[in-house]
Amino acid sequence: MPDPDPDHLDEFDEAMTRELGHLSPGIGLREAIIDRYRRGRRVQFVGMISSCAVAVLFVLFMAHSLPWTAPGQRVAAATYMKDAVIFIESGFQLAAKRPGKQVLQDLYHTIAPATALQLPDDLADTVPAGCRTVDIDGVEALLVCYYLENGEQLHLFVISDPARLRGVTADQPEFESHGHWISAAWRQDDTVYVAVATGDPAQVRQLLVRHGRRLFSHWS
Amino acid sequence: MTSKEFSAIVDEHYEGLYRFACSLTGNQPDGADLVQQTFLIWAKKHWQLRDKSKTKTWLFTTLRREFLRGHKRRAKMFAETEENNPANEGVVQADQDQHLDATLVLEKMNQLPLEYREPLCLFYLKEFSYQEIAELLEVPIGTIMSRLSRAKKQLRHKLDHA
Repeated sequence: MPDPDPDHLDEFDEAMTRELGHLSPGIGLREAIIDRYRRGRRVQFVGMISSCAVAVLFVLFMAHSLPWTAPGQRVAAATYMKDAVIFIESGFQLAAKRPGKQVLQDLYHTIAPATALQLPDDLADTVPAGCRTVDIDGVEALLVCYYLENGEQLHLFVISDPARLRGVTADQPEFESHGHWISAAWRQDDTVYVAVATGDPAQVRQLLVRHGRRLFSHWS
Repeated sequence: MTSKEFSAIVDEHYEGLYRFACSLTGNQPDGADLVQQTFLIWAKKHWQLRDKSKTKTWLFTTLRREFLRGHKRRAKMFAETEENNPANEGVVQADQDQHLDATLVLEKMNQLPLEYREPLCLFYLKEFSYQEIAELLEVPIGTIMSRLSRAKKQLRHKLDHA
């Protein structure tokens, strides 16, 4: 303990120092301080555990309910195809039933204002069962639903920006099986298509290929 | 900070802080409250202090700031008698019978202006040098010297006429 200035401690100062030294807080104050600290730590600990639990629940909720992909970020085609199947499987509402070309074009302009809608060659003249726009993994698309010849439905996602999906080639459609669902993704000019259909995977694959050969003439 | 580390800091500083707090508030219950509040702040904000050698100065400075912040509230509490303040029983165990002089000194010190009371108490605590007192109170060392001189003179006068 440093001595402030011993030369200035006269008799009066010494007496004052001594008297102030008699002011004793006692053991009660020390115990009160430490007890308060420990109680505070316990409350802090419980609060921290509660906060962690809430944070974990929040993250789980977000993971379950929101897309993880930030707007503008590229998405793997396989991921998009899987999530597209989940979207279809979960059930959805259509914006329009049996839409004409103008309805499809107008709806497409809401997500791609400067782009003309390009449907696969032989589907261009087929009347869809319904349509709507959809945002999956942060990628906006026009969803057009068709009835196939066997009564199954074909759900076609039309994506105007091919740069948004990774791993889609123009030459061959990529097939993915998801239980009784099957999906295919391919690119034509500056548009990416993702098709989703139900049924036996082998049969659906054959169906899509068959339809592809007939409807989508660029499929080899 | 572990409980053991916190207890070590309390053991080292709580008596000095208590005497300084009593001289600021003019009474022991409020002084004890002020010390508790100071250590509560220390528990929450000690991580802000990078140089641990400054812990003592940090504690005394924080205590003084807390006092200045709640000066009006404490002045009101000072008007209450200790008997009317059962919340403080069992916390402060000062032996008033044996140390009536200490109580008298505290009472007379409390009649001094705050600007005199602060350096005087820090000086008598023998915890700080003049330079450290000046830094703690954020005034030049020359000002501290002159205030101490006047404070002692006034305190001596008040005690002589007590």
